[in-house]
Amino acid sequence: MTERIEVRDAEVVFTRKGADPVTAIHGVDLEVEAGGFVSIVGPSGCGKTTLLRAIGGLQDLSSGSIAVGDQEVIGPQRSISFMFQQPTLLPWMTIEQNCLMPARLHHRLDEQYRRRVGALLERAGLGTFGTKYPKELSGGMQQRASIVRALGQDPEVLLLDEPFGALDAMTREQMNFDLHQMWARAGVTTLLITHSIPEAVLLGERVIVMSSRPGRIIDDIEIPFGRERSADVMNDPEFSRLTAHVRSHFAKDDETARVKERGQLVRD
Amino acid sequence: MSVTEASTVNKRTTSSPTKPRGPARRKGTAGRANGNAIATLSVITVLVAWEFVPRLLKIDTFIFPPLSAVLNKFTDGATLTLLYQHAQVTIYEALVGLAIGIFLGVSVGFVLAEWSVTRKAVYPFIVAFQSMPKVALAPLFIIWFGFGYTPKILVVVMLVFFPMLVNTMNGILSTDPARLDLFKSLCASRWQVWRRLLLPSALPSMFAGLEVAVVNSFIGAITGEFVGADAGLGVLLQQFKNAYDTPAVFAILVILALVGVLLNQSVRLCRRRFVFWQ
Repeated sequence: MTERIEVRDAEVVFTRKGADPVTAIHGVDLEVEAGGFVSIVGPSGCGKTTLLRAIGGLQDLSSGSIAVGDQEVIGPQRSISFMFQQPTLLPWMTIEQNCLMPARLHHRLDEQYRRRVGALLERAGLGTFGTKYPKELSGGMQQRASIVRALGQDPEVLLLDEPFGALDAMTREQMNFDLHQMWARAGVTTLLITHSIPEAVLLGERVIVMSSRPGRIIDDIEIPFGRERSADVMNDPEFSRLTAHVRSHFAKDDETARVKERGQLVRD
Repeated sequence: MSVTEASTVNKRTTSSPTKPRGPARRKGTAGRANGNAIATLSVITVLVAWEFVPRLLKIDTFIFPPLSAVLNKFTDGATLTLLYQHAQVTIYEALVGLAIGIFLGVSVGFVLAEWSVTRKAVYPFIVAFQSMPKVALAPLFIIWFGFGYTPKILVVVMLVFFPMLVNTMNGILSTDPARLDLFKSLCASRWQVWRRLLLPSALPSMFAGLEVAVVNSFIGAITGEFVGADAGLGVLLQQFKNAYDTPAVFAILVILALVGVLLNQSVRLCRRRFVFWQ
């Protein structure tokens, strides 16, 4: 039902015409146990999105290998659900149609699938919004619909690429717990990429820290809060200690690195 | 990169929930009703001015006829028959050319959007044709196809084809890459990507092209008739001009304006129906 993820010595190099090749990730080894929840944090441009896309089969590796379950990843797979930074709902479909679209594409839309999506919409607080169009919903509700679309597929692996980055703090916290609950129930192997250190610690069973250029893993921290978590976790002294520990990796990044990054942004 | 992305997304998503929907909508319809009233009033004002200003300034009817002189042409049986017959020819040419041009433009747009090799091969010619005044081809079409409908329809096709082609192609090529990723991650077939993503994504742009194409179709038909024809409003315009019948010339302009407005409104209606999400 759920699958483990195994990344071996993965490297991705982007070559662009008229520019030096950029090594996005280098020598990345990562194992995620079946049904686990792993958060990945790192500065922008550290290749964490590239790593996630590679696991999802959206990005070819330059060298190394990735396996989900027993199968090597050579392209997108139906058993892997991707959730993007934006809700990426289609504006010409209602919320329900959007959530049912994966099944429609896979020719497996049946009563059971409809019931599952209906229940997920209900749980996501969107029960009465199924017939609305995306633009009629707030950003947070759209992102929740996008979670429903991803979970409706009953995936074995869930890949989340900064799914809550665009939300306000209140909605974000709510969504964190929604996601955690859904994960705890579905038991799907989950990889979450985030900019937010508290979010990473709050949700992950492990937190992976990546450094930038080339992106590689510099720390792997066990988060010992168990599968059932509530807002109280954030008041635990251990929580502060862990976030401080994760943050210490970025404090080392001196000012020049930050200036360099800003220069990169301007040029982009 | 991800920082700037996040900030633009932020702007979009935070602005939508803060917008109070109910009152905004009410204000919207009120604003529209207001706009309609202003538009109607302005049209009436211009029509009244058209009637009385030429009289007050004692402008010769031959130079600028008052409204009533133009409207009189529509009550005159002989002129009306002429207008009717020739308008039929022009509308026929424009609509047939429009249909052919849309079909070809959209089809070629699809092909060029799907196969980048053909796009790169054909692109120089598209640029060359785009920057050329296509009505200049009219004399050539007359040499090739004579004075019948064909050369005019061809001019219309040329003028309709390019906006449809370019807008269809660009509409498809500018599909949101995040949505393309979504379809890719869902293992969608190429056909599914076209039907469920690319086509709907391109529709707004295609309708923008269609609005241009509709206007262009009549430019093409009239120009074609100017260059050489035995029937059509373009021919009639020149006949009236040669007879110094300025009110009749204006009558034709009124017909062309009305047909233009009618077509434009139909396109807008279709757009609102098919691109309901915008």
